[in-house]
Amino acid sequence: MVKKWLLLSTLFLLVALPAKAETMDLQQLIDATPAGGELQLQDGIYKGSFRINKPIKVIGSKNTILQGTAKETLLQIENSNDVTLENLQLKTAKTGIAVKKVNHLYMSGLKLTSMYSGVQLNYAEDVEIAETIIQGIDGHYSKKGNGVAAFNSKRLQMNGLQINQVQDGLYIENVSQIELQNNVIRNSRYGIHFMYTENAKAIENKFNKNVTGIMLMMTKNTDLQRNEINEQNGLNGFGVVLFDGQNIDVEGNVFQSNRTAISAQKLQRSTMKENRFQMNQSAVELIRSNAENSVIENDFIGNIVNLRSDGSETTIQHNYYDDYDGIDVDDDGIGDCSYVALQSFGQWMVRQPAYQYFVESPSVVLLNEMDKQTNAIETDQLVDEKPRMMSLQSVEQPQKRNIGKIVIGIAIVLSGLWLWRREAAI
Amino acid sequence: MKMRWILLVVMLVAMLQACGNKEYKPREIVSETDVCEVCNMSIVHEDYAGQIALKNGDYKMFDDLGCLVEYMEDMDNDNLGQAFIKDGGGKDWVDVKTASYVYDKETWTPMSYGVIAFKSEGAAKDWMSEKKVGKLLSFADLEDFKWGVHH
Repeated sequence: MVKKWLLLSTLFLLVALPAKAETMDLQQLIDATPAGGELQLQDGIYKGSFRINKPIKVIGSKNTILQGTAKETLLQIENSNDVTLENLQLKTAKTGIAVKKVNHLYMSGLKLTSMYSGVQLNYAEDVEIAETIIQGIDGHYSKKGNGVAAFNSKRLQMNGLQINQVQDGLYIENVSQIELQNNVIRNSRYGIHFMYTENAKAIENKFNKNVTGIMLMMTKNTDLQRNEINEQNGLNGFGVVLFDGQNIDVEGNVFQSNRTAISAQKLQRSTMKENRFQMNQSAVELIRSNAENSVIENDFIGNIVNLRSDGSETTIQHNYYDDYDGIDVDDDGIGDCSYVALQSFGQWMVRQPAYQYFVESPSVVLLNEMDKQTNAIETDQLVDEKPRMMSLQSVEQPQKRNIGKIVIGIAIVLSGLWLWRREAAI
Repeated sequence: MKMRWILLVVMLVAMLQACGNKEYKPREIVSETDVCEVCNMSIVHEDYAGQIALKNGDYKMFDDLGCLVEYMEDMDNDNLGQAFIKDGGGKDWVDVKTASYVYDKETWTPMSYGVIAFKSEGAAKDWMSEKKVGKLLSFADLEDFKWGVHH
């Protein structure tokens, strides 16, 4: 009889444990953990809204779920140092994680779903967010918030984030020293939206099917390097917009199939170097930008319009243009006559974007041919006096010899000869 | 005969007056396609949006008051019909020239310029006393305002 009761009790406990997690008050567990301590959470659903205001590590398991309501913030972290969050799934909230006045925050392995906005940082310093998934809600981007929004903060790092279907993937306002690397942002309004930011780096990120890949506004001393910016090709689509920026280096990026790859407006002392512009409607447009900018050593391949401007002067040099029809008699890799990118129709498109829909019409093709004739005497606007004859890719990647294939080829030829000789001998 | 001439003149004057008093109305924002004429931002925060109805019937849309004012400074005034901005509540369009404004550095707007519009000076003062922040501005003050340098 006693054994039977023991067996029943054990079975009851085994069944009841997950239920205990479901109803567990996470706030009590946080409060019970001493400052500087570590809170290991079991698999289960922790419902409610929670607050952290002391140094603590909160480490989840494979299926640790924090669940809130659509009207409030799920997790608030305020007035604290040294907070770590790992392996947590956050579901259903107005804002997933709201951070205010926190130093040394590390978040990794998080998954945020079904919420208006993901993470908000205010007055935060030394924050790293890594390997985190943020999946926005359905609907138009005007009806939802940002993936990660950072305001008035310093020394931030965001690496390996996957953000989909939000307003702005990463909204960065009044932040200094921020590094954004290996993030993938898709189907949103802007991939990264910089406002009043200094000393930022966006490196090796991927942007796909957003309205604009990177929207950079009133920002200084920023590097955009080796990013892949593809298919921002909607009605108002841009790969990158540089609006009122200073000392911006756009280097080594790939822009493919965007409506306009780079639109530079009121840009100063900035460089676009070693980028590949491939199959965009317009590659680079320069509006109200000053003469200290430079567009150098880029590849322009398969774009409808390579360069256009409203008269803004810019240093344009050593680029490769696939429609350049000059020759290189002295074989120095530089064309012997200038490349002139001036296209009457391209210029009109700057002023009236709706003209883009006539871009391959017979009259526009004829106009472009007439431009080519008149451009021979243009020496001022959109002129590259030293166009390269080869693209960066073909220069940098010399033809590799595949030893394996050569050996197989020789073997086939020798076998053929041997068979032929043998047949001849018979 | 004289009466006929007077009647004709009165009718002509009335017709000319009707032509001169064209009424301009703001149009609805279309978030999917409207972008700011100055900065190219999509207009998704309608509560801060502005627009200019041109005399030729076209509209220029703006995401933030600062962009609208910048555009007005550069445009040919002969083309300007009427300019509108959303009031602080984000419900009604108000004429930019008769609206009152409040600047507060910490108040968010799409371009973070921190200036929001109100139907009347009273409404602006009510907002300031409720929030305990802000500086009252008129439209004339906006023409000299240093947009975006407060960060």
